[in-house]
Amino acid sequence: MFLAIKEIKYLKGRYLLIISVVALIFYLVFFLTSLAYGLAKANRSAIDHFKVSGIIIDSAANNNITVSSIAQNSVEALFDHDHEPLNIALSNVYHISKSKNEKLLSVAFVGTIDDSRLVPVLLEGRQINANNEVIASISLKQDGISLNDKIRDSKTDRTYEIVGFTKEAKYNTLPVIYIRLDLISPPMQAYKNAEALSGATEDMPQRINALAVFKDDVIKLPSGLIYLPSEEVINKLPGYQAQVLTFGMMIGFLSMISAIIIGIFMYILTIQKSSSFGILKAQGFNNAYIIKAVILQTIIITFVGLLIGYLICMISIKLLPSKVPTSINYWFYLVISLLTSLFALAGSLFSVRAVTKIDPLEAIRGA
Amino acid sequence: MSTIRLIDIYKAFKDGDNTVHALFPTTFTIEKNEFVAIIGPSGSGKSTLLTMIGALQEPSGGKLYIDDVDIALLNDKQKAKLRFEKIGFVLQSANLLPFLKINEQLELKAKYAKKRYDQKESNKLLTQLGIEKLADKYPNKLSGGERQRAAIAYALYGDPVLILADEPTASLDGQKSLEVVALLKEIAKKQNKAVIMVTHDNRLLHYCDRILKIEDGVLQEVAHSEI
Ligand SMILES: Nc1ncnc2c1ncn2[C@@H]1O[C@H](COP(=O)(O)OP(=O)(O)O)[C@@H](O)[C@H]1O
Ligand SMILES: [Mg+2]
Repeated sequence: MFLAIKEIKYLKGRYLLIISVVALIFYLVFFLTSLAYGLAKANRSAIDHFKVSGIIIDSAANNNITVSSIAQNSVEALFDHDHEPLNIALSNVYHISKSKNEKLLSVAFVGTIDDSRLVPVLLEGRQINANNEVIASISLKQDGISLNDKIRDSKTDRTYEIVGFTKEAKYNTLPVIYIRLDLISPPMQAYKNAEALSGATEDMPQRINALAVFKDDVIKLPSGLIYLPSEEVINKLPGYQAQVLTFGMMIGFLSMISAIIIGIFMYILTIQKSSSFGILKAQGFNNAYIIKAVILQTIIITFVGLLIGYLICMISIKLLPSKVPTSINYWFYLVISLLTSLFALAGSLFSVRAVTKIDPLEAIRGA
Repeated sequence: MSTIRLIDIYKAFKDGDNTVHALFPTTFTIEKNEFVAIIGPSGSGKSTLLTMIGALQEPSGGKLYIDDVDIALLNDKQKAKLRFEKIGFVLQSANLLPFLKINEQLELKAKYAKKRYDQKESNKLLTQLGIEKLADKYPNKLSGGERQRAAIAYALYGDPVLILADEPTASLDGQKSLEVVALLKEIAKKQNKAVIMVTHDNRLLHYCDRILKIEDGVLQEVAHSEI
């Protein structure tokens, strides 16, 4: 402790430099992590809000909810699980306003029954009471949409009023608009101005994209249907996995690199100090004492670097425009920090070895 | 009871097919209160002898007792402990750590021994050596003579029985050398320690009680008059 701290105090400049390099790398790691997590959330938050164990879709849909089409009554009749019908449709909407240029926005419609558990908490406004009412992810406010504004679906030309905002919900990076189930059922999307849904009969049952299942008991399905656990649904989102893997690799490599850099710095410093360490050993200080000092310095560099990197990261996230999807996940930070610290400690083993190799006799001769 | 006892200690280095006899079998004892000089030309084996006495390298044969402990029976860890507790080293260009202030060097020794650092004792020691004003200076801020005094303070801290000094005056001018050697003598007498000093400066020898001369690895004790 004494040795480690006093030396850092003496060589302030040198250690400051090392710590800044380490801090910058950790900054990058943390920043990438929040970007990656922000982007991941922009893909999956709507599905996470469902809080379902999985969904049942058409097995021919190739894991894509939006192209799945199943008969609601027959699928629901198959089991008495806790479930709800679910439609998801990607579309563009016009934000109706007095200005001539109506703004076109890409959104994901999520159709549910009234008072559905699939819809996240309302932050503003109220629940849907009528067919022409929808509630939207709060993130749409950034696109200039306010409560009681009107939007028009470009596919069907139907016009809706925003009556509430939920906490942020996105599906495959698109902001979500929650709507009554039947208004975006597969057949309803096919026709402009189609009147409501009375068309469903025994012979022509209502069709839905998916059935959301809340509890994951063993589900036996007839052929033609497939059960996808939530995590699988998310992984099958277009581009999701590639992006998570890419970011994961970058973050992983950067943590490794920072650990290696710490290890190399410590090694160089140890070699530079080997004559001092040799004299200590000649005077009867054992390896363990010197090694403790080296390891403690590694821990100090790593920890201070982590802390500074984290602080800069927090500041830059604050300064970043809100369009950039960032999200802080302390759990990830913690795991990355722990792993990197472990790697850095492993890297300092080279220095430990160097310490044990120092010959006190040589130090005495040199002195 | 002797502080140092050598019985037929010798040291040979294998250099390919050649064997370098750095020290032929040597027997002598050194007691507390004695200030002993080891002299001899360069390469004659002085450092080899001193480092064996300092438990830093093993003799090729013979018996070596430090404070009545047979060195051959100790493992590396025990030897390190013995060095720490019983021996103070004073080296040519100082055994100080560049990144510790003079008083911190002493504190480090206390910390390592898991003893409370005694500021008073440390001050007393530094005062004795005339460097109390330099206590919170780093070694590179000291002159050669001051640094050597600091090194002696460091060697003395913790009360070892034996002080080993390898050419402690090599980097000092004549006057400063005499001061340092006088100091070593005072330590031997007043603090009742065995002090062994390697030197090639014959002017310093009249401070010493005994003179051991090595030539080509052969050690013999000589009288002051023979120098
Ligand atoms: N580690 C070693 N390997 C080989 N020869 C050595 C080694 N150490 C010392 N010697 C040899 O032993 C002899 C005595 O060396 P040393 O004790 O350093 O002499 P001094 O200190 O009197 O100048 C020299 O010939 C030196 O070359
Ligand atoms: Mg020598």
